[in-house]
Amino acid sequence: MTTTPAGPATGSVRRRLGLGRLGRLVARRARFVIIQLAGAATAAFFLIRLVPGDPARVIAGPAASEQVLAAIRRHLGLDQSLPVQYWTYLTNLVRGDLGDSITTGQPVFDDLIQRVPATLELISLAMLVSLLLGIPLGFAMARRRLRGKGKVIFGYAMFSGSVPDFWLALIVAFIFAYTWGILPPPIGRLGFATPPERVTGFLTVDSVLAWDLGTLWLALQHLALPVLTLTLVYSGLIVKVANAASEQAMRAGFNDLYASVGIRQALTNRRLVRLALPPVATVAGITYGFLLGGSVLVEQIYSWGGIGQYAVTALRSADFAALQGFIVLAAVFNIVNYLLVDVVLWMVDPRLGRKGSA
Amino acid sequence: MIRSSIERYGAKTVWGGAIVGLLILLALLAPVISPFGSEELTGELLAAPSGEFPFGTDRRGMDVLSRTLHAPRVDLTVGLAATLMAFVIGIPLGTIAGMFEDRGRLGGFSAQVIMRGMDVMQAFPVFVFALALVAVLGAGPVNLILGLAFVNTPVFVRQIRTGILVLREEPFVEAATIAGWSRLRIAFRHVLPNALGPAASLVSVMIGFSILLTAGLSFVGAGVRLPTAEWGVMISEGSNQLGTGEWWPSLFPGLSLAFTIFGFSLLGEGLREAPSRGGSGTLSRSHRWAERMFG
Repeated sequence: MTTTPAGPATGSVRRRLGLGRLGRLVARRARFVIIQLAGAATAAFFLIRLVPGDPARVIAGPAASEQVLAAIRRHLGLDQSLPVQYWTYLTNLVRGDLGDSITTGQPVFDDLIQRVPATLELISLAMLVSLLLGIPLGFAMARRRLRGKGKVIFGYAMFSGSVPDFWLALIVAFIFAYTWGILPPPIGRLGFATPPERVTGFLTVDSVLAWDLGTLWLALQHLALPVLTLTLVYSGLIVKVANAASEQAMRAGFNDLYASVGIRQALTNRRLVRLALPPVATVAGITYGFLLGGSVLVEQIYSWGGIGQYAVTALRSADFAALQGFIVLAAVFNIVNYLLVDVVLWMVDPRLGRKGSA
Repeated sequence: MIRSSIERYGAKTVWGGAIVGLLILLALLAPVISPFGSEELTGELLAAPSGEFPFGTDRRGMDVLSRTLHAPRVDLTVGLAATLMAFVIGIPLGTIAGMFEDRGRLGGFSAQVIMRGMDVMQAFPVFVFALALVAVLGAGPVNLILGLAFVNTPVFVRQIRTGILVLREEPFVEAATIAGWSRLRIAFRHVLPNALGPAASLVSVMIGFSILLTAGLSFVGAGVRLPTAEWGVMISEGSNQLGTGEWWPSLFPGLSLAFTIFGFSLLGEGLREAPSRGGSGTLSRSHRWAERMFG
């Protein structure tokens, strides 16, 4: 969905950015979203059926008796025909029933809801820091003529694309926590402190709501290293694209015009940022999806207790229902995420979403 | 010699190629040049880097240097095999999806089915999808290759389809159609060869990416397992000692992994820029012929 940027926003354009247009566009896209969700759910269903041999045997181990195996099969519905299984799966899914986890003994849905805020807090903060650093940096670099500028940006993008996130997570923990001791070691979101009363599940938000600034400071300290890791690894693309998009925007005619008639630089900059936004929004959406994948390993290292760590535990104990629930949730996250990117693009560029360009 | 090849192929291609070449050489020579076997127990547990053990030893007493040198034998093989497999599967799917989009009932339908399938596969975050696949198939190098190939396929399908959508508007396609060739034959004989160049530069990047996934999956125990020498497994093994100050079992494999991915990305970047350096080396004969005929 990359487009060539339009001219500066005018008053008439702003009036057309009403909610009515956005609502229509979202409604039109909803059809595709539902198809994609159904496809992802189906893929997740068949994925679990790929288990070689007997899933019941994998779960129960080689020493299990025939009665135990039969009980597991009945419990998982494996004794029924495939279409019946599929139908049961779909109807349960719509009601939010993802089966029970064999490791926690709880419904997978409850487990995931319990853990989602931890993951979202981590990756959203990393996303926010990446954008707050990446966009101004990319823009500032585009404004100045520096020697070797391109090489610096290329080098940073290559570095961040090459460093394995899980290794960097370990290395920063070793340096900042174990060697210098200035940040807490990787033992979860708060260490041994008592969490604030759960309202949203986001520790930063909840501690502010409870007006417990000590806990807020502690939560931020524990967030620092995993967020640093994810930012270093996943911000390269944002810096690169923000820079390229800003350079492209500066070639727009109004840039020179504004400069020649003496319009304030700050005003020109605001227009330029708007022009450069669509590619950055697209790449931010892609990065957000990658962050969810990357959080699986980083959460494991920092004992974060989010859905990523839940997935690794499920993986190690052949907990297929939990694994299935996790990938369905990840797909939902990704699809919603892409929809949000499209909404941002529609808001920025009024030409998008007209007939024939959806 | 280096200067002239940099002028000809570009610095990124040359340095990226040199890193990749060095890695392949080291992987091949690993049994000859490493001081110990890849799974040999030296008896010295957690020895710090020294003259005898330049990279130290891990908690089982295995030499970290020897294991680091042996690791690309697994990582490169898995990355290479998974990427090539995805490329080979992606070629026909991408060609059909591109050539038959909005063309004819059966063809248009096939193109739709292929692209919606790719949409569904890409609805999952890549690492999550790979993790689930390998978890279900079971750990081990062969399942790792199959899982990664599956996950990488949509990237190649899309790349080839995009190239073909542009190329199918070229005059030489029209010429071949007038000459009475079937659309399928034009697709594979004339259009596809011209779309392969850009896709091939993607192969290098995707090998690096697959190696990263391999190490990440092995790190959580979903890929290759102990005692096999593999960078992700080694980092995982060494991670337990970081808290007590023994950094060497996890530092060196991680550095090697980063350096490897860097090499493949650099080479891919160089190859991607290659066509703009002039020369029509990637154009097929029919395309060059058409360029002469129709200007």
